[in-house]
Amino acid sequence: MVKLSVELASLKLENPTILASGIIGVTKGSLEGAVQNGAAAVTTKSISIEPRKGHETPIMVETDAGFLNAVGYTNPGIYSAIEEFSDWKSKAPLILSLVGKDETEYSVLAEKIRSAQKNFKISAVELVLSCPHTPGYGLMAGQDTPEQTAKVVRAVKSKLPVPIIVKFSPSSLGVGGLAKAAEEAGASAINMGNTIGPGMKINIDQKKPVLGFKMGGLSGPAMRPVTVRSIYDIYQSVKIPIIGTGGVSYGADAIELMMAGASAIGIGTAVWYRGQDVFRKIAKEMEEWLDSNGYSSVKEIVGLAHE
Amino acid sequence: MSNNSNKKCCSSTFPQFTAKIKSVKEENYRIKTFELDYDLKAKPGQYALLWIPGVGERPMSIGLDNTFTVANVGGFSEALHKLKKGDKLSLRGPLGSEFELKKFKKIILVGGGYGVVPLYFLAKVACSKNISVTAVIAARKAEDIIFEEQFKKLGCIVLASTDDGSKGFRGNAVEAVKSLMQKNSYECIYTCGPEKMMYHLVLLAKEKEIESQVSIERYIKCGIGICGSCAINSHLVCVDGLVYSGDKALRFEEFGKSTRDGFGKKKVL
Repeated sequence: MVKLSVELASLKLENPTILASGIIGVTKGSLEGAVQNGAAAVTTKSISIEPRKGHETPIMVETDAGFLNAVGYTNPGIYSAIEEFSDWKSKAPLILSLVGKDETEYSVLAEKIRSAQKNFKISAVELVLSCPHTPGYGLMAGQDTPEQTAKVVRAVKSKLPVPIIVKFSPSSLGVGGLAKAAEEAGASAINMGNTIGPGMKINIDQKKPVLGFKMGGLSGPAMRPVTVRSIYDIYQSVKIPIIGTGGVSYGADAIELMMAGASAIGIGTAVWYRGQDVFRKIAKEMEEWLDSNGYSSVKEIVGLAHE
Repeated sequence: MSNNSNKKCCSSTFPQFTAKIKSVKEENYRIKTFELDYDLKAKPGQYALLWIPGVGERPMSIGLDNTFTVANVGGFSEALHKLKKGDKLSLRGPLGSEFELKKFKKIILVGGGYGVVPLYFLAKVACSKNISVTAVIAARKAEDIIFEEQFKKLGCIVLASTDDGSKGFRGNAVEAVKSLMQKNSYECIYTCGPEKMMYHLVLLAKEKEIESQVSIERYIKCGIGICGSCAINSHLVCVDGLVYSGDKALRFEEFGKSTRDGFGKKKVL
């Protein structure tokens, strides 16, 4: 019997798969659906202080071996989100993804969560400092510097007693330094990461960019080599665990990210390629690979490529 | 070793293609039918995402013979209504589940407003299989009734029903169906329209111990089960709907009770 369970900061996961932010997670019901389909932890859509409509449709378009997306942080705002995700009863940890323009906004978000009612139980917060396609946020606002990262992490840490995960994009330069800054400021884990880009797809019949926002972040198999390299870099820079997210569709892909240094795996676009039960499928494929290669626990392969 | 030139490195799983509009027909004061020159190979109940560059992309029910019948309610639909014969229209689809005729011999279709569009497509398929089809076309007032003549031409028994009695049965669609059921029995109710109407029809079917199938509308954006905006309880309507059996729909606590707006916030129906 191969053990698939992993620990991520204080989060206990039955297997390494996590529903990535922005995928499915608008409602508590759909997060519960992901758990039923095998996700060991789930991440909500990113929540801002005020409601956001997001970008005009199309918000997703396929490209070779991947998708471009520009959702634009559609969400009902922190007040509605607290109401929506209260009374989380599943054993799978609930990770609340937060998005703010600067440390002041993150501080307000943290304050709202702290003062929420007791039935609002979250296992961790994930701070997104890396969206490649929303004005005012992430890469388009220069949030991906070590200084900004440290400020935001400290602002949230001073208000909230839950583990902090910081999510970066492989498109940022010097991801190792960013992760180090997050670790020193008190982050419990790094999520590497977000989509890359932005990229653009033009419909040649209409002679126009397809996405409503014209440009979007690239996800799916096409980006995986960049994710793997970014995880590899971060693993050499920090001691805190890494969630590897980007381009994983099969068990073998997940194994590859873990060998680069990831302790858990975020799943997003693969929900389309392999169905809503992709989490269970990937976990099973990992188990089979580990078994046939003589491992007794998935933890044994974390960072193997560095040895 | 030189025959690599036509190899495609990866196949598309969700292609967007561009068709031309073959004809435009005015159905009433605000509804037009757009016929495409492209065979969608759709089944009744499926939808497509129509894209107008610079305006947006919206899910639309696919009608009979590669058509889309759309009311001008502003925004995207207003832009669509400006398109003429010969103009380009890009789309992705067909997507979603379909109405199933099973082995039924006698069925009733209940469309509210432009909910009749996929049902007319279904009626055509059912009639070609010699299934007896009764169609209830419900709307607020007489000028909102569409497809009445088309259903008749297929050989369906048709009952128009209007809230104000300006045409046909006076009252709501559920009452119209109940009145028909006093003298007739059906094996399945197929319905598309306002959710409250569909909810009460599913309950009626349950009471009569017959089957039902409903086409549920939610806020669909990506169309491929990723963005989550179309959630109804733990299900995503864009991939496992729009069509559900009435029994399954009743297992969704939100069915007939609440929906979600474009922000993902719950709204009571």
